[in-house]
Amino acid sequence: MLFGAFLNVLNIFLYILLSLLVVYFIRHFTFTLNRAFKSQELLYLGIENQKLPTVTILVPAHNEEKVIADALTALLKQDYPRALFKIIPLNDRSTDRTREIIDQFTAQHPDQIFPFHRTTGKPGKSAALKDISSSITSEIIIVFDADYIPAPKLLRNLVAPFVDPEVGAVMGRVVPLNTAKNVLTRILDLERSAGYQVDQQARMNMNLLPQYGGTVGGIRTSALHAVDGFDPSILAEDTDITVKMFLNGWSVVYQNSCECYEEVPENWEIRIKQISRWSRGHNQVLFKQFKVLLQHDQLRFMEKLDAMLLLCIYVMGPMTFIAWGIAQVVYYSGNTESSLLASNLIAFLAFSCLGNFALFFEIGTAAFLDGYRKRIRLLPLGVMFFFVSLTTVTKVLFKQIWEDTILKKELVWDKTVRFRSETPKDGT
Amino acid sequence: MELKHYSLEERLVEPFRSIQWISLSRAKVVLSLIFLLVFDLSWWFLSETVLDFWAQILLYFTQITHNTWTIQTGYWPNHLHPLILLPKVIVPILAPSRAIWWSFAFATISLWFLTGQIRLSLLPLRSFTRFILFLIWIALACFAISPLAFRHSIEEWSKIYFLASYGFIFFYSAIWTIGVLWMPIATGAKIRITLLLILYELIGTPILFFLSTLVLQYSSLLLLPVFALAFAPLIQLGWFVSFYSLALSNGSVRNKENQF
Repeated sequence: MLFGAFLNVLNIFLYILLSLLVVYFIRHFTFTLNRAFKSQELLYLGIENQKLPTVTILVPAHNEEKVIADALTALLKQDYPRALFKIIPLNDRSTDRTREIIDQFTAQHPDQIFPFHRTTGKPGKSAALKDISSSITSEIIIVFDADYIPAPKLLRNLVAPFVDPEVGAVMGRVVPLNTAKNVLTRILDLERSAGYQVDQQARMNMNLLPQYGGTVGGIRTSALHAVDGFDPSILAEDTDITVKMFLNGWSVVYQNSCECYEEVPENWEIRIKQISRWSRGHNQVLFKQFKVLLQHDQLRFMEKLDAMLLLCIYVMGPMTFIAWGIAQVVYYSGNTESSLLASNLIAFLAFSCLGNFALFFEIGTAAFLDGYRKRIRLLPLGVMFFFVSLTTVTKVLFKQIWEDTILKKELVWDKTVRFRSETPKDGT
Repeated sequence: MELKHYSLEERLVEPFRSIQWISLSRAKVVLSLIFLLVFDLSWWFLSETVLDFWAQILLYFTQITHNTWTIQTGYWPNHLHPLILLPKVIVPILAPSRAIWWSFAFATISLWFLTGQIRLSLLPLRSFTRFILFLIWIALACFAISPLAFRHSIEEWSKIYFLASYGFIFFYSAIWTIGVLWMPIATGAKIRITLLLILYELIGTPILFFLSTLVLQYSSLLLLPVFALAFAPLIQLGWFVSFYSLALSNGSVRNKENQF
């Protein structure tokens, strides 16, 4: 009797999880269809004669000696009036040559570069951004991670959407620089392609919620202050800002043409750390904002649904894991047909979520739109990457619940290691 | 700052108005539906026919029947440890007396630790192995707790297992239709790869089924859920994704209008 009731509960739970997976599947299938077959709207690209706003470019850096010089050199070459922008490298207690390199650049460009060397306070990107943002007076803040190399026109294109007073944040497209290094970087390139070319752009086309990604992106300073700025306790400050903007009536714009190059992890150790940080930060925002989002009564149903699905994305990994386990228990209870169908469905939906939760047809379509051809054939390898992501995000969720809820442990920022080898001697 | 205020009508109507439906022409939609119908029906019909054909071959070669399977393997966990009669001993009650159970328990625990030694560049292999071990442990637990485990007949299971492999034909063909047929890919490539996919479903799937049944016959039924729940669907989908990526890599036109 009791065992029967237990099995019924398991069955119900299994089908709830399956329904959630189906919702994600439909969401991403719709995004893919939108990008594959709908003609593209080129919003903001034609704006040229607007009054250019004043811009502060922030470059958070912690032990970035391998890459910081490239980033600063590229930023100094921006096609933007000198008087209207300044660069603030945010050196967060680096122990390598980062400070020295920044100071060399500052000496050569004293009217353009204003370094901020942090030696105290909570470490981490969010905390550093929080510290500096309260003193910024320019109209727009643009954030670039230290490994990014922006093209000369990028700044001008990124600020264009701010001509619309409702726009609170703008996000550009991130393109991997070291794609040809190994299989991992090639798969990550495909994954990024899906995330931006299909996912972000489709959300933009469908008036949903494109995500501000914390780099290659701009924020309206007044909007940032209105939503209470960066939260130093959150690892994914970008997701937090996106949701706060959204909840306060500001819109986030995605600009697919604003491409900027970055380094993707070249080995699994770094990749795991990266997923863990994203996943943990994302879940933090989920726990913090989900209730507020649910109770908000001034958002459209589709906007709210998209935002909730966006926040829950890293919880779906563990849920998939659990669903697979339950399907097996149900199998032993004698319900073979239902269990086999459920497990097939889980496998299909879960396997669809290759890599960082992008569906295989989403990746295929993105690669196709980007003009890749032979590279698409790497797609089946994604199944192995899927298992790494699945196990990692599952581990992270349980660790997070244990450390945040039980141990009340303070979070430590774990930066991504860089692989670039060339370091220019100075800022010339 | 000022918040946007939406009226009740806006909130009710806007979600539906804002969905930008895909601008496929009516002819393409009708053709897609016909394709889906014909494809699904023919695959379903073929799968039934092929199932019978392969089942005959399988039974001829392996001589598997429900009774022979049960007698030969003897792995039905209906003989629990005699200590079940002692009320205060908890663990032995749950432990089956069959050596095969203990072998699997020790083997999988050892494998878990061994996979920790796999170098990090092969991390996907470690993750995949541990995922399979996770499924085997659930199997072991169910096997130990429930004397009713594996009460299905092998014939019944075989049929469901085989049909389940064809269970997602609709998904396959939907993605195939939208993702491949209407993409600007060379027509010859579309035909070639569609035929390849059908060929795999007719031959590859039965072979997969045949091999997994053989493995089960000569190892243990403990592996059955691992095949049924993990390997079969993943291998099937793996092939499908391979064909899909092969088809997309034959694109002839770069659609610049849609890129940005």
